This record gives sequence, C-alpha cells and structure tokens, in this order.
Amino acid sequence: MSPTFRCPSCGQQRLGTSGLPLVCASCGFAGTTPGPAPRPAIEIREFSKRYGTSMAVEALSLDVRAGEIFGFLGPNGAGKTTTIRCLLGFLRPTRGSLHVLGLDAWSQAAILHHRIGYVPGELALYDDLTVEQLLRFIARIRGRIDEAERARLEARLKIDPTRRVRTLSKGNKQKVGLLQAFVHEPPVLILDEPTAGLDPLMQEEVHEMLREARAQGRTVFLSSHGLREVEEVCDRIGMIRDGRLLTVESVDELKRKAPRLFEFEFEDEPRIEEFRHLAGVTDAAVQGRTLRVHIRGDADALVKAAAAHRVKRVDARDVDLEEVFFRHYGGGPP
Amino acid sequence: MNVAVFRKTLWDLRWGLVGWGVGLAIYAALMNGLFPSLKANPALDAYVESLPEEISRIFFEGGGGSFTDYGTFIRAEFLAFLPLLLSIWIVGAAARIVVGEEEGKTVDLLLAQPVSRASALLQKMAALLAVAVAVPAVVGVALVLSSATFDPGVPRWRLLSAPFYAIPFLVAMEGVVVAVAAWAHRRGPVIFAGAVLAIGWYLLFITARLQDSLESLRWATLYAYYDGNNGFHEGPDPAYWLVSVILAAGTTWLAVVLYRRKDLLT
Ligand SMILES: Nc1ncnc2c1ncn2[C@@H]1O[C@H](COP(=O)(O)OP(=O)(O)OP(=O)(O)O)[C@@H](O)[C@H]1O
Ligand SMILES: [Mg+2]
Repeated sequence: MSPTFRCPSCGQQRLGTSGLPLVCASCGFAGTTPGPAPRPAIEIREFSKRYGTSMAVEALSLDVRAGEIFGFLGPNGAGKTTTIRCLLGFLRPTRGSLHVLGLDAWSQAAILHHRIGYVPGELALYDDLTVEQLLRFIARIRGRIDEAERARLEARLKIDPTRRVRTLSKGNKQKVGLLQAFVHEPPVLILDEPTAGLDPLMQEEVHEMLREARAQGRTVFLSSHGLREVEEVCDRIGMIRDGRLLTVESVDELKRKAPRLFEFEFEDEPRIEEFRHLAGVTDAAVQGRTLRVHIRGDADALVKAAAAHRVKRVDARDVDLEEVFFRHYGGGPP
Repeated sequence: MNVAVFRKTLWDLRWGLVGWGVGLAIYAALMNGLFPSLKANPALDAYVESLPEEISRIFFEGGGGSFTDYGTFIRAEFLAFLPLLLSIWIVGAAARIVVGEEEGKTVDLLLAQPVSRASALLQKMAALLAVAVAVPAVVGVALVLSSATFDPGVPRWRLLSAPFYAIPFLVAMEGVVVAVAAWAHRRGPVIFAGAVLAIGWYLLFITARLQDSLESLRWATLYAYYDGNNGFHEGPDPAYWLVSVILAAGTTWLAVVLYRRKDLLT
C-alpha cells in the first residue's frame, strides 16, 4: 500500500509514493515526498510475444514510474492489447519479463490482482447478470466492496445498477467496466482504451478520475489511439508500432514535435506565399478560399497572418497519429 | 474459503440441471408407465428369446434376459443409456464454463480478480460435479415415485440409488472433457472431441460385449466403470468407484496443469 505523507505547507494527510513530485490536493503546494526514488510500478524487460509464427511484440522494454499516468499509444494491431494482457498474466511472454509492483505478472498474477484495477480492451461482462449482481460477484471474489465508493462512482458515471448488462449500450457497459476497475481503489490501474465508446462529457469525467487517481499517488497505464486523449491526461507516452516501441517521451516534448492541421476558410482567396514560410509551418496548401496548414509548435505566427483576412471558419485538429509516426520515426506505411 | 466462482457456475448451470433433471425424470416415468402392460404380456418374452444372440447381448449384459423382470427391463431401456445421455450434457457444460469464457471474452474480467487459475478451474469443476450428482438424484426420485402403482420386485432404495451408479463414470468423464477444454481455445473442438469420446467409447463398449475376443477392450472405455447394470441387483463394487476416482483425479490434475500454462486467447 502507498504510504501516507503530510503536506509540508498545509499539513493535510494524503497517500503518496516516496520520492515523487506531488501537488497537494488541498493547498496546491508542490514538492517532493521524502524518501529514496522508488522502484518503477511497472517494469517491462526485453518482452516479446509470439502468436504461432507471427511476432506481436518484440523486445519491448519500458518503465512506468509510480504515481504517473502513462499512455501507450499506437495504431491498430500495434501490440498494445497483447502487452496489457501479458501484464495481467493472461498471456505468457515468449521472452523477457513483466513486473508490476515488483511481482511477476505471469507467475504471481493472483496475488498481484489484489492491487490492480483493469479494464479490458474488448470488454465483456456477464450478460445475464444485473450490474448489481456483477459487482457483488466481483466483491465476493475480492472479499469486500466499499459500498460508499461504489455508490459515489455509480452516481458519477451515471450507472443504473438495476439494469441487466445485456440491455446496456456499449458506452454504458464501458462505464461498468470502469466502475469495477476503480471501485477497489487499486494502487495500479491498467486500462485498455478506457474511454472507447464514451460520449465526450463522460470521456472528460474519466480523464478527471484518472487525474484524481494520480493525485492520490496511484499509477495508471492506459492505451489509446488518440493523441489528444493522451495529451490531455498523460505524463509520458510510449509509442508502439508493429510490436516495437518507437519512443517514450513526455507529453510536453511530444506536443512540441507533433504537427497539427489548421484549416481556415476565408472570405477571399488567400495566397500560399503568405503562409508557407511562417515559423513552424511544415506544409501548406490552398484550395479556393480554404487554407490547410500543418504546423509544429506554437501557432502564433499563423494566427496573426490569418488575421489579415476575414476568417469565416477555423478548424484545428491533430494530424493522424500514423502520420506523426512516419514523420518522426521514418519508414513508410506497413 | 472463497467459493464465489463455484456459486456463480452453479447458477450458470441451473437451466441444465432443470432441463436434464426434468427430461430424464419424464423418460424414467414413461418407462415405468409402460412396465405393467409389458409384464402382462408373455408374448414379449417369447419375442426376446427369438432375437439373435448378438442383439440380445447389446441389451442384456451376459446375454439372455426377460422384459417381464423389472430390473432387466429398466436397465435395458433406461439405465443403460443414462451415462451416454449425461455425457452429452457434461461435454456441452464443460465446454461452456471453461472455454466459453475465452470465446465470450469474459475471462479477462474473471481472472483480473485475485483468484488463481487453478482455483477458478477447480471451483468450476466442483460446480459441474454438484450438478452431475443432482441430476441422478432427481432421476432416482422419479424412478421411485413413478413405480408407486406396481411392485417392481426390488427394494425401493435400490431404485433410488440406481442412477447414482453413473456418478463414477460422470466424474471421470468430466475430468477428461475439462482436460480437453483446459487445452483448447474454442468450444467447437472441445465439443467435437467430447462427442467423439462419448460415442466412440460407447460403440467400443458395445463391440466388446458382442465379440468375446474383444471382451477386455471394454475396460478401455469409461462405460465399463458405469456399474449400473450390476449394481442394481448386487450393490456397488468399490473397485469400479476406485478406478473412476483415480481416473478423475488424474485428469483433473492434468486439466489444472494445462489451464495454468495456457495462453488465454480471446
Ligand atoms: N489470438 C491471436 N492470434 C494471432 N495473432 C494475434 C492474436 N491476437 C492478436 N494478434 C496479432 O497481434 C498483433 C497485435 O495485436 P494487439 O491486439 O495487441 O494490437 P492493438 O495494439 O491492441 O490493436 P488495436 O488498437 O486494434 O486494439 C496484431 O498483429 C494481431 O493480429
Ligand atoms: Mg487493442
């Protein structure tokens, strides 16, 4: 269990992991908890997984620090779910090792699961149970359930516990999946695409829950396809493609590197020369009254140049994740 | 001891228990309903005697028999089929509760909880066993109740206990099928293998009865350990039970070993 620390500024007790920078939830004081730097919450070493003859993950090594939100990002078939299911001990690594909280994910899975909350990527709940029955079943295996926490999460995620799982929509099932992972307040959360199928408001709610978990010193490992999602909540990001880890970077670093696509619709036709050579612009195209610009870093110069025209509409979005990979790590599409 | 998985599996198997319990009870009652009119018809015995010896051997252990004797009748017409029928249920149920969770992807939810694979599998097997004992109990009661209108010529407790002779067989069959299920990833192959074993063994068992030279082959089939035919008159033979329990223990151990090593592919 995480030790309790006292905030040096306001004296509030809170959970934390020694040696980590923490921000006090009550007074906002930022500091480092006492004690030596801890062992990473998740340690993956030279991990490979082969299905039959095809290699799904190859020689992946990765540390997730205690108390951080780590995003595992990659296109379809990259090996995210394979890695996560090995972390839960469902699959046996072909080579290498995976440790969570110092325990071996394969051979010590049952003990370890007391301390992990997990949302599967392809979530399946027992269809013929009601949400309440399902939670009671899980509570029986775990030996207890915190009823107050359960009620709080049900209200927060807007879950009707009397509904039969079969009758729930995809998003509502996903919320039940999240509830069962969070309700035991585990020190480690492993979430395979946790916000898949949720509406934007609910996604934001889940992001908030993740930030709260971090503030309590818990560790989160989540997978996602969406750069925006991981940007929003993660501290660090690992990128995987074709079973190989391309890079691990802090979100700030990545934000600097990742281009965004701006699309302006002007009242008049712009000239491409106005924009092509602006700071940060990597690519620009004009089509009639529409301007499309890829930009890396801050958009100040672009917005100021655009202001010379009458702007009818502006749209900004992340460049396709795949494109980010190709631009920065070379190689064509697989 | 945490028995949450046992309880849930029992709950999941409830319809099988009701279906097979009621179905077999009705079958037993129908056969009992027929018996008084058969007994009153001596022509039937003449017909049975006129049957070729091979046919007679299929129906009656050791050859000859008489349908006007209740014990012979109910063994030949009902009890002899009990293990075959129940193994069909065991195969389907074992496939569902073991590999069905992989196929339905619920295994991720179940085994993400702090329960070991061995414990989860053993709890499921125990639930299956509990139902496998409950069904013969229901059938035994049905045999007793539906024979109330005539004198079967054997003590009623023998009627009640007759279906229980299927239990050693069922325990061993469960071990074999769960071992297959613990190794497979999809239900289809488990059901296929289970059906091949259940029917193949049955045919071998019958063949061994027909051919004196193949007589010893019957011990290679699980059906030989179904003691219903003899036990009906003579009481249980501990050797059969012992062999079944050893078989069941061995196959259960194998099932746990396989299940602990397997990749859970969803
Ligand atoms: N049971 C399986 N048998 C064979 N190959 C598999 C199996 N499961 C996954 N794979 C392969 O392993 C690779 C990695 O798959 P994985 O599910 O880990 O990807 P992912 O990153 O989670 O993708 P997605 O974003 O689509 O969920 C893929 O090439 C996939 O085809
Ligand atoms: Mg996946």
